[in-house]
Amino acid sequence: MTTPDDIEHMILRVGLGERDAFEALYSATSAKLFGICLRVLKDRTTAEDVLQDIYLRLWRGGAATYTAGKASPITWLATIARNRSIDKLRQIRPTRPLEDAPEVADPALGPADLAEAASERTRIFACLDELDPDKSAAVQGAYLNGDTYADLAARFDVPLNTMRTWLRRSLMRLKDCLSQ
Amino acid sequence: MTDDTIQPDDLGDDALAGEYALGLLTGDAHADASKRARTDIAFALKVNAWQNHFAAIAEAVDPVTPPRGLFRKIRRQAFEETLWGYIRQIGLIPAFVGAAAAALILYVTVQFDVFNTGQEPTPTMIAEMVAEDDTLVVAAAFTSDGRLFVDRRIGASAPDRSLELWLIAGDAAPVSLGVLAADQTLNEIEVPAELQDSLAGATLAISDEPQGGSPTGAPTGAVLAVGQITTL
Repeated sequence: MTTPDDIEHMILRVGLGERDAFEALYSATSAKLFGICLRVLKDRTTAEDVLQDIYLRLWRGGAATYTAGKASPITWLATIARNRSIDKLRQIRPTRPLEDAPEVADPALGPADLAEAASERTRIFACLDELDPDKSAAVQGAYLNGDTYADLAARFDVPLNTMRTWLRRSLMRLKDCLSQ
Repeated sequence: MTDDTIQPDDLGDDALAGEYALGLLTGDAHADASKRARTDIAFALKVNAWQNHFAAIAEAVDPVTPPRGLFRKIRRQAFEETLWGYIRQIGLIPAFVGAAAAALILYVTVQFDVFNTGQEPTPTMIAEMVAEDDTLVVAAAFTSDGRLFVDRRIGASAPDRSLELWLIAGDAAPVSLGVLAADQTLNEIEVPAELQDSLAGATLAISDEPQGGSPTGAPTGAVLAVGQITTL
């Protein structure tokens, strides 16, 4: 089985321009990333384009920006896949405000071994469960569907500022829960 | 902090970082947060922490195997642009150790052919420049798309000096093709279009020059290594 350590090695070797590693990294991670692209974009052709762009960027120096031992390499890749997909989504949905999804900066959590990453995963869901279902759905919807405050305000039929106050409170509750 | 209008407010910053990581903000609010994420380390760390938490949502999405041919497409595009990749890899393979540069270049050529899918630039001409005492060995390969790859395999410039590459075609005066990088062995050099036709059969030479290259446009220092360009 491919472990996070294996993936990390692959990323570091891709950063050095090693072709074998690029192929291995693709084999090990492309299904995971394609699933994310497809979930965000809901269109196979576009998701394929974004997936291609992600791996090309990794090859062209993106992999060299990965810092070993900080966040899990899967977390790093998943964030790239999600952010690139959201970027694309906003490009092709011209009715929405054109905004860039946040760039992936250097992940700054402590060393994450598999167990830690797993507990991290369950923790966010446990904390989301503590929110009102509406708010939990809004947070996850923003993350995976690219909903902005404007979209959410329209959907819930409330003023934008009300929506914002609502979600900021939810984020603070999440933060409290996550730091416990 | 570079922006005076933003009051330090740890609690508010956590929420703002979360809003930014989720991509909820638009317009000025987004632009401001984006600027802070790039310039304010404390804020950037908060954004990172949120991104890493939220990544679990993405990681929980079911994997879907991408279509079969996609990697072939990606690989072609990725490797096509990186003749660097070939040369770098080949440089790591200790084949033909001790053989002349010609053997190394021949090996490079064989590798190019192995990977050649018809779209990638292939070497059309090669040259080896070897110093008389073997202290400097530089291999060069011209590719079908007009680029010149130069690999400094053995030797380096003297301290505070530069190695400069010259093209000597027929009876014409040497034309500088550029200074070889001191901090890396591989160089990619663009050959001006007007020189492309004069390459076949011409000579490449490397001279010792003041740092940054000859100040006169003609070689001023000793010629260290010379080699003829061979058409493949």
